[in-house]
Amino acid sequence: MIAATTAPTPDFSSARPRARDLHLLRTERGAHAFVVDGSQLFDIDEETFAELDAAIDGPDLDSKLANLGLRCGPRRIDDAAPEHMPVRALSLAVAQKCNLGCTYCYAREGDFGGPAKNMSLETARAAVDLLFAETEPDQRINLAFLGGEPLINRAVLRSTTEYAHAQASRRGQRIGFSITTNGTLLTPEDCDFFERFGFAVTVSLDGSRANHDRQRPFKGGRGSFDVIIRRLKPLLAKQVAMQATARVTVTPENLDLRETLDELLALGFYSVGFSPMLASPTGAGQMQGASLATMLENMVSCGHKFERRVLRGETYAFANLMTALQEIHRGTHRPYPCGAGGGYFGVSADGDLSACHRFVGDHVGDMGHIATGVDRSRQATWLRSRHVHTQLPCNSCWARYLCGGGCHHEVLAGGRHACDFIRGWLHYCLQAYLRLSAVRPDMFAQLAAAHSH
Amino acid sequence: MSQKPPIEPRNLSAQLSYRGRGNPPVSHPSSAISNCFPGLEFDFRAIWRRSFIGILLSENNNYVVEADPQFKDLEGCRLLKIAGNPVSVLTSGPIFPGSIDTLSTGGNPDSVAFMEWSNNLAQIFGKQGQKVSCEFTASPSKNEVLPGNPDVKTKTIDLEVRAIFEKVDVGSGPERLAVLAEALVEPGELSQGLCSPWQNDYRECACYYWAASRPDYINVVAADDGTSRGDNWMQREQTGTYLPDNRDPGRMFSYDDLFKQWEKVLKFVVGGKT
Repeated sequence: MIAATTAPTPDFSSARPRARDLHLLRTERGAHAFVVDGSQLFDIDEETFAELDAAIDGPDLDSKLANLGLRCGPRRIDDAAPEHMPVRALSLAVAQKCNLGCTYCYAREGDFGGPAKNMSLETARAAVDLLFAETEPDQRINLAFLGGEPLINRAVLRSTTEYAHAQASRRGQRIGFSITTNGTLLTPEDCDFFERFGFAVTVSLDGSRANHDRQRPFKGGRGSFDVIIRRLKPLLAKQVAMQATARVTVTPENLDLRETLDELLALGFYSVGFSPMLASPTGAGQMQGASLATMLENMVSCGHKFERRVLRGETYAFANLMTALQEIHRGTHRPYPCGAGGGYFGVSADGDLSACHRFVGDHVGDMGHIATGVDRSRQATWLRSRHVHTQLPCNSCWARYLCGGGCHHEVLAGGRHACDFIRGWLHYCLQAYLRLSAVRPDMFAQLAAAHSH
Repeated sequence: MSQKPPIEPRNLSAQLSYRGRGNPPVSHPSSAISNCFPGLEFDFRAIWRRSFIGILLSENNNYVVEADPQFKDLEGCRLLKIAGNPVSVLTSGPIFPGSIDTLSTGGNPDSVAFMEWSNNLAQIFGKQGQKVSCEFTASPSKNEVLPGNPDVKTKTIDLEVRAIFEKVDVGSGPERLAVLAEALVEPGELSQGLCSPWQNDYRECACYYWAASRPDYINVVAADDGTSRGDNWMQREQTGTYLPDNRDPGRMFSYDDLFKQWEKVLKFVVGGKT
């Protein structure tokens, strides 16, 4: 049973959208204002809080914010979609097939609803060539391997990595490699390979053995947990240049996040992150209002544990919160949830480009072909139509530039039914930032200094 | 006991954007005089000094002030070209009516001017973290040297361009922050070259150049006929009659007054009145 400890029950009402440009919130440290333009966060006194609270629904809010010095100059994000966005990252569906039979999989058990196939080496190399042709040597690029299960096509994965690394070295260009794998086919040699090229490795694991085996069995129905844990050992022992993250897909069946987080961190993962299943092609495992409320409660509970550990000077690699804290610290504000269709594209086994790895085989996200490059007209239409200012109800929500409107693939498939969850989580993350940065400002300075080289 | 201000910016974007109540627009980086040359709030030329790992340049010039041991023989030399592009140019202009000539001075006989810092930073901005070829004079040179002068011996060395901004790892690789890299400027350097009361420019510059922090014309009273009466900011006795600056220390603040006791001679100007 998940004890709430000192965590209050998540309060959807305090995160509800009242004004498009301002969100008011409180912590134990006092009153605060989150100014949506530029994702700016302020401590305010009670008098200012009352003044803003009274004006928040009215027509004078903008001039009030300006008079208080909280908002100035032109708005940072206008309605115009970016133009001329070069390709900065590609993910290669090197294997459109999988040995697992996860019921909720967006790729429909790996083949995206079509014939199972592998990507050829020629196609993979052509994709890499496109990435270099689109970028200058001073721009960092990223190459990801996804599937299906990418390790089914190990030879192409390795050869393509070596080819891309050699090209990048020749050009003096920085390149990052990443892979998302189910972990069942990992060999010690794979682990050496990932370490040598500094991969960011994401392993999909849905929690303890019982939960995981129920959601992520082999195609014949046999549980995959024990096989994965055995094969993960050399990977988790090796992390120097490489980082291994566990990614947990959360369904109504595995909502025990506190236990899952602790168990996976104990295995030796660099970090652990949770994603709710919001659009399952079969409907199986999809999260709804009540289960999302429980998930939020448990996410916040994990967050409180993170806060306590950090205040004691310890680490607790809860990826969702760490990412949110870093973004809030910088004041990240974006008109899209991710780079899909902007600087990032998925490549199918046949060389078709799509808005991201999830749109492989789905014509909604068609973006051209590696032989002819990105279809600029489709890209422009995509960026115009997916801009958060054009999305409902996003354009009146205070969280729009932190959230970006939600995963395009999930929203296009299933609409937006997780807004309360997302807002509730971001509301908590703002509170956690306000508490932690007041007591441990060094933590954020260290983050910056530790990675200055 | 210090009282907590009514509004306090917390995250980086708020710190960059917030303008405290009562502060003028120029207290803001985007509209500040620091946006120009050399700057009132920050002297951005300071970031040029350590742009190349291993050498320290003058903030307003191509002169190598100091160098790490492996580049010791560059001290006193002039950086002439970056990746083949000159950092200084020949200057010319009218000296006598009707003629254009090169603008030489006793200290600069070859009429060479170092380009403004932003021009040279633009050359290296896209090369952060990479090595670029840098052409120097082969020997120390007190005088400015024109890049490409065939009479001047040169040497070319590859130097790494330092990152301008601090970076943070957000899980998907390093991301740039909105703060200058710690290795680029040391504490105090951004402001040590500023125009301040204890520096010449504070008294030197007229024409409302430092309008933000030092209005030229104060205690102004407008008359119905469109004229006005008021005081020069530097006159000792404020009479309501403007005294042109004749550098008479009996009538006007001297440089020494401002260098040594600026906090005594200068008064606050609020709403145009002292």
